[in-house]
Amino acid sequence: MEKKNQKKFDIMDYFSAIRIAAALLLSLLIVFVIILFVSEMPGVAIQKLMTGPLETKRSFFNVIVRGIPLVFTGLGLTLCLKSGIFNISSDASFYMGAVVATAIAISWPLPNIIHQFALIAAAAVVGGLISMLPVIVNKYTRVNPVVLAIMANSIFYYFGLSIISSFFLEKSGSWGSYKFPDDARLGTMIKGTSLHYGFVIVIVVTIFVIFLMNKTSFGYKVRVTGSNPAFAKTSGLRTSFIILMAQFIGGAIAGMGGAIEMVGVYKRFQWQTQTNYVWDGLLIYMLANGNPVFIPITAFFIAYLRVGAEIMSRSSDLDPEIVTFLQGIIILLVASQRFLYFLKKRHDQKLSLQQAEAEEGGAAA
Amino acid sequence: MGHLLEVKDVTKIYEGGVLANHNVNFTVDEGEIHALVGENGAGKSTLMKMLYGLEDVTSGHIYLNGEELKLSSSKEAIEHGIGMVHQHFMLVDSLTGAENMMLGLEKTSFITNRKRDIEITNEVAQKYNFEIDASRRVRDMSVGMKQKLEILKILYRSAKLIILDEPTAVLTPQETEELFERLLELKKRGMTMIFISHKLNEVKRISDRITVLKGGVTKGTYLTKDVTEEDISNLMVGREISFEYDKEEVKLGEEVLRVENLKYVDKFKIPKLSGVSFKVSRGEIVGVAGVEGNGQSEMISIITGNMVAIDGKVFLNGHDITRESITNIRKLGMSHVPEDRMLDGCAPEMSVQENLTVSNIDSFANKTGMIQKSKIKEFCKNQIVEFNVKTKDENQSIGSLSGGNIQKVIVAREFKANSDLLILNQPTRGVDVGAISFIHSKILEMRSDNKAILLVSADLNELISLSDRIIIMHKGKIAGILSNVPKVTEQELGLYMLGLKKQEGLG
Repeated sequence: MEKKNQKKFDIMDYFSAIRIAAALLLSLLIVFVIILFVSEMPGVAIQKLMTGPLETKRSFFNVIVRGIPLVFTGLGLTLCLKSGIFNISSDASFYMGAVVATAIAISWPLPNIIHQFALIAAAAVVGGLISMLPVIVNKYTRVNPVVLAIMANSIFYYFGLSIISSFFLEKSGSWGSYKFPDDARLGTMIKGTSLHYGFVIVIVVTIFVIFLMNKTSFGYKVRVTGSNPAFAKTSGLRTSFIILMAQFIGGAIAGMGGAIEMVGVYKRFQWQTQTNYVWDGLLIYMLANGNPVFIPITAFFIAYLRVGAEIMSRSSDLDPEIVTFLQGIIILLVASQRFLYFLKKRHDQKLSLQQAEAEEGGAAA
Repeated sequence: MGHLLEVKDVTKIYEGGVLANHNVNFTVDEGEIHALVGENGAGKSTLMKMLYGLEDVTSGHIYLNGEELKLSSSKEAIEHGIGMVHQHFMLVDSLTGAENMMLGLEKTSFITNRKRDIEITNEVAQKYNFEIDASRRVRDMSVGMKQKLEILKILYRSAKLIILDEPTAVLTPQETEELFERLLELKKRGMTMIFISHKLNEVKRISDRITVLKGGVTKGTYLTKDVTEEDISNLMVGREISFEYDKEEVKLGEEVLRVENLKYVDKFKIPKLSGVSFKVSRGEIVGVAGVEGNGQSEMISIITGNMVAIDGKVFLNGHDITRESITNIRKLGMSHVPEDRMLDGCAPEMSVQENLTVSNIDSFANKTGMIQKSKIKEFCKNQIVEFNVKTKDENQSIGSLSGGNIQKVIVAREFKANSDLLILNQPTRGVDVGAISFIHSKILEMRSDNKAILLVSADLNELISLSDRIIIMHKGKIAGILSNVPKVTEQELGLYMLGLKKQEGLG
């Protein structure tokens, strides 16, 4: 009995695994075809795209560095979306997290380690508070939280940009803030690569989110609220509070991500455009099927493709933007619930017919 | 002789693998009233939805007048002369009867002509001897009048075959009787009707032939005059049903719930509650009867904290809970089995285990908020055994269980919360007979445990067999409180529910 059950669950997961794998393969195939049409040297291009990041140690660790902010946004979004609110204000939290980190790095001289800790914590709080805004404003105005979240992304981008421009801008040279002192930066983990200590933090945060969502009563309440808010409310859960807390934690993770990216990768604040990490985060969330365990895997996969595309563009006649095709097709296929749906439908139908016949047989016997 | 309608080997599997109909066969002859009976969940409604083009057929054939029927929308069904009266009225509340009548017709002109619409509606109503007020808004109509309007709508679209999906579920006995007279009249005019019900006395009274469905399979078609109610009931459930319980003598304890002068007005400014007062004590089951829409659901929403009354007070164990949050009300000792189990009662995608523990999850967590999985598992396994829930194990998603088993899980959760007051809103609606008698026995157990129980039900039989007292609501007021319950008849309740009889000096 026990074993039979296990099998059924495996099949369900197996269905989503097949779907995602098929989506990946199909989109890769489409991109290969596009490359064949537009490139003079398709062989080199495809080879560099697929294996380029593995060629040198430096580019391999670049993949990890590129993946770190993606993991943060992916995990942050997991909490926000699992609570049932499509709150995609992670960009606002991420950008402001970086701004707050810059401000503290430059204006508060603190000893090493305490300095990094302070600026990441402050970024987390600010990111968390920003992430709560769409839900709060929605409560009083009934404006769709998705609209509010997208507005927040724009508003806080300009707000953060103006803070940097008015208080921390270095007047000489190219656009950018003053340099961060060394005791504010995260430092490299492995010499000769760009890998910084943010990698350790990302592992800790991932474990924290997996633990929070799957092992604690809070995570359970978030999942119930997201799954059926009316039921959660009738059952006496304080849904508004739970939703707000989930947004706060989700935003805090995104804010931390912004701070870590800033003091880990950059020497000064240089973001003159919107970061747009939230869309990557959504892609990762979907590919991971909403499961925090898979968020890092999918994030590093996307980062791998990005780095591969850059290497490809350096050694062939193609632009790295070719990966956006890839991402677009993956999102379309993974998000479309009907993609390969017939597989599941056929399986379900077969199963229930078998069950019915077994019951009839049993009744006859 | 040819059949008007022939259903051959029809199978329907819903998304997610729910098998609703399995090789269903039956025929309907012209000019008959053909009853389709079966327990809830036997697949009656699914079958009708396929006949009416609302659901597609997984496999099998449907023939109308010998020609195969392939419907992809209800519009096509109407074109073929098939009409359906749904279990829940498909009317626009804020429009008048005449406007509803014309709604969706292709021949309507772009600019409406109210006067002409009302004339036409009255004409059709007179033709079939249906009394309705065409100029009245639907929300101000009685349930019986809405029902008639629904049937008229179909007749006006020149249907030859009318499907009636549990048309009497919301009617009082008197309204039911009137409806039956109209239906028999329609039959004389040559209409064919498929009548879905699980009230066997009604089926026996009105139908010519009966087809029995059980578990999505046809159990056979019978001439009504050849079978007794007991025969049909045996075919439906495989055993006889009796709702007569030996109730233990329980001494009334202290008062747990007191409701004082509750008032509520809905968003259309229609008063839904106009001064309701009563109380419930330990060790008694107080039933609430009333035709749907007479204030019962508003009253329960206010008591359970889902809505705030405009006036009046609710006391639970002496605490004023009129404006308390649901969280606090539950902490003060109230459990609630909500009316809509899929919306408010469970999270369908989550597991049985997760649904069993939602309201008391904190009691399974240690101080750091970490869930003790083994403790939960043990609790759930015990509940599944005690409440006889048919599930593979506690990890199965609750949405894949049958209605009766979902309800058992919800009842298990609420009954095990150790509350002083249980609010049960339609605890057995849409549940199979086996589960009904099980839930009833659990309710009586709670009564013996000295709990105070408030039971709202549309099933008068259930109210009479369980309650110690019955409150009857009519137009937002208490029309009567009957305490001689075992001797109360459904007919007597019906008189109060319709407002024909009234006790003076109540709220």
